[in-house]
Amino acid sequence: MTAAAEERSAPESRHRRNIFIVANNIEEVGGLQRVVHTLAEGFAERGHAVELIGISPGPPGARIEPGRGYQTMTLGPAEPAEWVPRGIRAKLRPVKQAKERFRRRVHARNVGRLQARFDRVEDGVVIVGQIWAMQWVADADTRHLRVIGMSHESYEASRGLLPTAIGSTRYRRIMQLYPPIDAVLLLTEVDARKFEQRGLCNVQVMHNPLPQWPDQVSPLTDKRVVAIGRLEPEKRYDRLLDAWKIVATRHPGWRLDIYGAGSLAMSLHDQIEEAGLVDSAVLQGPTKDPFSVLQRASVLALSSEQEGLPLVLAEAMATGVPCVAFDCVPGIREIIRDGEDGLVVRNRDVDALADGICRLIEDEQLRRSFGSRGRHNIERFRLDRILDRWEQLFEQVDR
Amino acid sequence: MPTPSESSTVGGLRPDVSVVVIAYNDAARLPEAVASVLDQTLRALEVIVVDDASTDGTWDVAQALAEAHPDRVRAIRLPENSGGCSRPRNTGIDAAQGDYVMFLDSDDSLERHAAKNLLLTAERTGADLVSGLCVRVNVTNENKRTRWYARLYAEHATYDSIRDAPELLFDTLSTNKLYRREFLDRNGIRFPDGLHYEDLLFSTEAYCTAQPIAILPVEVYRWHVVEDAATASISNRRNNIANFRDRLQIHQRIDAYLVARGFDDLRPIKDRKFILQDLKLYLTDLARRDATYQEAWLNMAADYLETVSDEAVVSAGPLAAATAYLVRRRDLDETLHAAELWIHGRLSGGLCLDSGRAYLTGRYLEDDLGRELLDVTALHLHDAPFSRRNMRNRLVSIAGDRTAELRGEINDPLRAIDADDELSATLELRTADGRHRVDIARPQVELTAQGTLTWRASLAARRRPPRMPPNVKSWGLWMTLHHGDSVNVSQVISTTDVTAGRRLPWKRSPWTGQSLLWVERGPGDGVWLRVERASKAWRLADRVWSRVRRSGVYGDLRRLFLSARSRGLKSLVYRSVLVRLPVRRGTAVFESQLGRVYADNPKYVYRALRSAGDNRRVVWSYTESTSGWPQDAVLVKRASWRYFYELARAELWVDNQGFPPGAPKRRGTKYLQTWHGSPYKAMGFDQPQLQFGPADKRAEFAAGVGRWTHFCVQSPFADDTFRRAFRHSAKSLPSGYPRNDPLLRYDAAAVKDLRAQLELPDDRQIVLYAPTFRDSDRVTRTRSGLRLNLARLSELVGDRCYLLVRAHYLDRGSVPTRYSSFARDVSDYPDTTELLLLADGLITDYSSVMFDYALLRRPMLFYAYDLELYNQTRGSYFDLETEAPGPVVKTEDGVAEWLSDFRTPHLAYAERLERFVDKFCTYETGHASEDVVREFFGVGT
Repeated sequence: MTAAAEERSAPESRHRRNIFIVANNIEEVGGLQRVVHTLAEGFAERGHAVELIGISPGPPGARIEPGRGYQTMTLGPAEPAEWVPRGIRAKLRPVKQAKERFRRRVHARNVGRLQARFDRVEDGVVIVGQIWAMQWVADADTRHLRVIGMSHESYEASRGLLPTAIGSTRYRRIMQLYPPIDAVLLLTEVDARKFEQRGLCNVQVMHNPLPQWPDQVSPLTDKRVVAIGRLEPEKRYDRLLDAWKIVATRHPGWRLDIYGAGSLAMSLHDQIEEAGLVDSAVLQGPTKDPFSVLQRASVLALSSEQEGLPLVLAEAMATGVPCVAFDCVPGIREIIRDGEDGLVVRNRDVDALADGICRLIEDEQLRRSFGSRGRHNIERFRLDRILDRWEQLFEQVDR
Repeated sequence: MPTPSESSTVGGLRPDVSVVVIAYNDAARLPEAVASVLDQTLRALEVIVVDDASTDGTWDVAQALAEAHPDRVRAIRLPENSGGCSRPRNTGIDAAQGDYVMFLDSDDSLERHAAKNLLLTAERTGADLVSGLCVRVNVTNENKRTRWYARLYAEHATYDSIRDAPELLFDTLSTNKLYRREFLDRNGIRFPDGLHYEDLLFSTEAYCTAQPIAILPVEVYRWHVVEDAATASISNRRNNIANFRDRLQIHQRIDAYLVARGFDDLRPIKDRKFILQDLKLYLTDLARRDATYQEAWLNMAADYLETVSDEAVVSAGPLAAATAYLVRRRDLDETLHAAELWIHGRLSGGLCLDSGRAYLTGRYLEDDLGRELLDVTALHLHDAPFSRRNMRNRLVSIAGDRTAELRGEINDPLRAIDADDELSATLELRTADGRHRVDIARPQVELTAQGTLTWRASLAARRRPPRMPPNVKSWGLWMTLHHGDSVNVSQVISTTDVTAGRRLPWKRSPWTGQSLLWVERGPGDGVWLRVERASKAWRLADRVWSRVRRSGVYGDLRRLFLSARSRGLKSLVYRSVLVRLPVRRGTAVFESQLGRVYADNPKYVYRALRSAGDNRRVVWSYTESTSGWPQDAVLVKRASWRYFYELARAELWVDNQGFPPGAPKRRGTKYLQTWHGSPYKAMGFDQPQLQFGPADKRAEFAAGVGRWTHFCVQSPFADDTFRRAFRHSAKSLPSGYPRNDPLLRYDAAAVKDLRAQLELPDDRQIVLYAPTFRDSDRVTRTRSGLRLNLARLSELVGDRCYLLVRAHYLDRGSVPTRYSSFARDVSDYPDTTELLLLADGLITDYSSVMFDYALLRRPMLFYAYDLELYNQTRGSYFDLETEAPGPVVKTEDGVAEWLSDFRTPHLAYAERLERFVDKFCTYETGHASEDVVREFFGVGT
């Protein structure tokens, strides 16, 4: 052991660990990426040696800025899709075969790069952010390391049961690659139990942390309802706008701001025009700082059809903003305690969503009590708390 | 550079868990068992191998393991063989150094995370004893897995003492558990030396002393089960009477222990477990034992059961209690009869009918307890029709050398058959899954003076065995008995080993060398035949063939061959050639549910067409067989060349689901889409698969819908919803559904005929259970199966109701024959309308039968156990809970409660039912078929 290393591990009585976090890509601006960067920075601050590894580069566009104290790397350019040859006709396709040979070489090279990082340490922990990335970790030799895998979606979504995830093969891959590793982390108790019943024996629950804890809470005086999230089909903003049509007629002074970019921008724009909501509903485009948006909001609405554990609810509650959400996945109730610090309404029921929003608009007292209780309750998502849980987990897998 | 972690080896540190692995003459499997421990994710553990003075190489293997892992494995050898598991395990406990102890047998293994999961649970809950799920794994087929007492391991739980969860006493294994070592030592809990079934006493003591007890609903232990094992493991050798004596002694010691420690209150549940598990195990093959064994066994069992309270006997449930009662009465014959009924569901003895009640035997009716326990009226054995009796059909002997003369007897305690009745029978071979059937003989059946039926069949030495499907490994022997119009099917069983080792007198197949061998014991006590493939040439051919199959060449050739007969080719010819042929004026093609049945709307349209005196040429398509289809129509197999030809030339198309997408409609053709039910669940483009699925699927669907010219609807609601869901522009016929005409034009005589034809009981309410198919089952490739516990329901409401089960065709066959007196699978019955007519009540969930059955204004229950998930995955058009014309329940208890009395709650729904009919069945008049025929065919007035 070198003197430098000794010095670094000495100041704290805590055990200094080598932590690798592996994710599909670490560059795209997305929920998962935000989580792994937050964790990496948190671990680094606590004195661990952290390296964040992306399997392939993110799609072109906005890049997430790495934080301080940890290294990042990407294994290499995206690998072509795997091709499994079947039958004699497959043998007559030299181009395909050559491509597949090439893919295997690229894959082997990428696994080799990963292996080189792993081999530089004698022990440590590998955290695999998504099941897809596990295919590289599984091909590497990790006998000297502990491996922890994560899955950030509900059981139904990974089984391919949900409308927005039809035909997902992630369940199959989870049941194939995750059983031997040291721990599998799921977002909610309900999902953990479902996987457990299907025979996965190493499941645990770990919440994602809030990236920051806002000092300022919203005054809850602006007549603004907000929604934050990508403009994609599974977010069902069309339903939110249907509900808003009802709200807008009852409370003309209020407005709805939707933050996010995505493929449905045009069609939502059309829907706003058709419904005659141009004055009260606005597509604001993406935001980099959700907390400053929330500090000027009075209600947050979530109309999704499919979510994992939607952190935007936790962010809103941390800012003291009460939420109304569809009861679409177990994760919703894991964040909001219905009637205590927010409202959970029947999934897909547009009228119920409108009623929920109206209830919060009409009753300022309710808004305030939900807001303050929510901020208190949601402390369990604070980074410090979550990092404590992680350190407990590290000790557990080390035994 | 990096800091090494301090716990990568146990080193000199004290381990958290000690795993005691016991072995006796098991050198081959010991390394695997130990490896499953060393491979645990918990590394702070030690392995203690205790060798019970083996005479093979076990000790060497154990020593080698200890040398290879000096800091984790220790090996101990007992000086002399102990003959059981107790002394080795006790030795292991004494040598253990870990805070916790687990046990593992050398032929089993631990799940990879077992030790850590158990340890963490123990630390979290502070439990002295943590019990995890044990899974029985078939060694030859890893996929055959059963969970041992799964109901006890449904969720995580912590109990302050065994009194909070006395049911745990049913799981008496010692191996799926983790014990605090200090707890075992402090309370002196050890295995009893010199007795088998040591687990029972050990785990009872541990359960009673541990505070708290934690339950881990996660697999921890893999119990490897070997089928047809030549050497049964110690505890399985039940043919020795001493074995049973050991078991009773253990139970006596348990009883003494319970009394001494003040746990008398647990005695009844322990006794219930004795009857349901221990006693049942021995009763299963008691009939095969010799007379001395049977007598000795009966006396020992009766002696013990005399110490069991009546309360415990009664709590074992109807037939089990009756059997235990008869054992206590030392009545061997009746015990065997009762056990056969209890375990196999077969009636082998007589029934005693007394003042309207049916009893297993008339012997002990003077005793109040006997009268109560022997009463089997609720099982409806006495009034079951011939076709639904589970009669015992026993193979008595096989004689002859070149020919096999089979003799058997059928028990007919109810004397259903008179001496001069016409009887005929077929002897057949069936595969276990019932998919293949081969007739092999026509036995002679005779009624003897004693009232039993005897049969004899002769299997002549044939030149060659009958044609049999390849790849079938074993066959069961079955008999079909025809008595007038009634048909009874029974499996041939044997209670004596008449069959062992004999060969069927058929010649070997020249190709495969196949011959059939009687099997001494197969699954259950049925007579089974094993297929023996002896010829070398065949084995070689088989190997080559499987190579070819695996290489994919076979698949390619097959695909090439099939593509010549494929729909793609037919569709091409259809579009390029057939549609240029002239249209045959007036010809109509009918189809129902893709040709699967002759039923539903098209059937009733067709009938009305014919009764209006129209004699046009009509083509009906079918998929499997033509039986049941009308004779005055041209019958064409679906998707055949002829079928495409007829489609191309017909002027009129009528169907309720969809003609093949590869057959676009010609311009002049009129297409009546009757559809098969109003919508509750998302349809057409509202279905998630289409909504979020690939664009070409959507295009194909749209093209299919685009062919429709006329569309039947039941209500404005359905009209609206379908128009949006299918985006169709066909002309709506506000006629209602033709299939519902019989419901509104109710014909009491016809219904009575139907009930008689189906042999339904007159004294009970007929309830139809018709659930929908779950899309999620297709995605996850599972079957929901029947979400009703028939055993429990028949106990609760068997005297009031009779259940007809209509599952989706993929789920059919879900009613075991032993419940035939309470429920019946009618999934294959073609016409739902007729079933609706005769049902006094309906249980459904999201099926469109609700819109049809509502017309009868009879009671309905909605058993929507997965309402949330269903709505989440499929989606629906209205809220079932607020609009349903009957109660919506989510649990089986709710179903049982409703079944016990559905007339009274029905009254409360009268108003809602009317609203429901108004909204969803608006157009129904009872003359839909005539309206449709007039509108579409222009026939009638």
